[in-house]
Amino acid sequence: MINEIKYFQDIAVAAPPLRWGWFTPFKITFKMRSPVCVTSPWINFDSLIGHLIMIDTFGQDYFILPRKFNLTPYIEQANTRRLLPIKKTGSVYHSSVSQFFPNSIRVTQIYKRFEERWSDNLKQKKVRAGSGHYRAYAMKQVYIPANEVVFYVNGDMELIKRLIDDYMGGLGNDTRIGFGAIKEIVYEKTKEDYSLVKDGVAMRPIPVEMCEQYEDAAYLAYKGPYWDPRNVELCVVPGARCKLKDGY
Amino acid sequence: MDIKKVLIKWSKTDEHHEKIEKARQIVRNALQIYSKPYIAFSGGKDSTCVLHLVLEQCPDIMVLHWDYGPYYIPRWLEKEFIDNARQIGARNIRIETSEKYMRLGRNAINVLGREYLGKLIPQLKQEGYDMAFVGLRKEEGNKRRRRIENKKSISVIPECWPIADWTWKDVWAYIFNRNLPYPSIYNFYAPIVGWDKVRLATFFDPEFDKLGSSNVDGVLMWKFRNYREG
Repeated sequence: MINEIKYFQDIAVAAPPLRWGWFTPFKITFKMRSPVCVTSPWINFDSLIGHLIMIDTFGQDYFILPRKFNLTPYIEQANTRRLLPIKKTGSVYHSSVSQFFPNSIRVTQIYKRFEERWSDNLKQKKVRAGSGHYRAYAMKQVYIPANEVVFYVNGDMELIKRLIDDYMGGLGNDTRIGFGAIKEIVYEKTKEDYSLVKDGVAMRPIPVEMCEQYEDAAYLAYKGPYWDPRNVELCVVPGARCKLKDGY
Repeated sequence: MDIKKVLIKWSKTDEHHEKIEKARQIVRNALQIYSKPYIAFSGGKDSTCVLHLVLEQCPDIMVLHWDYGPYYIPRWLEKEFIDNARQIGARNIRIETSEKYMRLGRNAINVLGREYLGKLIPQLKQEGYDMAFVGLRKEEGNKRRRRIENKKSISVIPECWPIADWTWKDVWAYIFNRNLPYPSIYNFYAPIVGWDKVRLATFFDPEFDKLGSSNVDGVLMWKFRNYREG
């Protein structure tokens, strides 16, 4: 039995360091060619970059990473030089959630099923589509037909640009079936850091302890991996008016 | 075009009137045959119609509601279900649940099968209940259609399906035309999912992951994703 943690730690240690340059606040605009498929109302930019760094670190081994297991703490121990090139206050990265323009939610049905062209690789002659490993699915999928998706970040723009250029095949979920195709990416430096709050409005989930005032809060994950319930805290919800405490 | 206006127009058609009359006749016949029936009321659109149809003829009938607990159904929505039933005229509402929903949270799998069908319904049979009005419709899916055509009840108490032949248009037309209260969550989901496809189900329920329900809930009910009791 292979020790998975050690296997991936060794790869992370061997990976070359990510050399950070200057951190600067900037706006990144994805001009979309096809709708963006989502499973939450927004996409977190820090999780997106974290995902790209994982691909950069592990290469093809990325695709055999254990599912539903948070490797991040082990990798941070193994190689502290491959952390996200984004400013961090406490545990919160200075990166906004996605702003979709226009933002209208639609639902479609996608069909996942075993394809006969792979059947030569199987020992059994019959494939059951009704249940089991090769079960066929008809699943509802949410998409947003946005023309532009905007993020505000405070980090190393050049390094982020490099990661996006090298590894990003599309934005959002189900890019393999054509969702989230990107036409153009525009990077613009901004005078102010809008990654946490812009015009008095929260741009990402912000733990309520960081805020002096806020109009709406909910239990949300505020750091990656966003699927991990241990990262859930009472947070100001993106889009709600709030005021950060003086220290932030 | 306003879908509600379209459906109210549908409610004026002879086809719709015939279906209502047939449903009333089914209820009338069932009430003559069975001495102690009850209504299985989930709170959704179909059971809302059945509730109204049965209460017209039997106002004191027991209305059984199964509460899926705070991790699957937000409390404000649960309150709406009960308030709506009362507004429609239910006097004898019985709410049942299982402690497993609190104990296991979103890991509570197949509790309905074990606790509701396996324990509660046999208990109701012992109490003398002999028939359940259920808002099952053929249009909902092949399994349900076959179940209705084969007259197959899933529990030890026989079921009666007054709106088995109704379509989604009949259901909404019945609700809108009579101005019946219905859960507000439909107004939120239906414009996106479609008034024909929208269904009320438990939210973030792993049993429905295979249908992609959690994908939709994750976007439309995101505040409820990380619900914590207290």
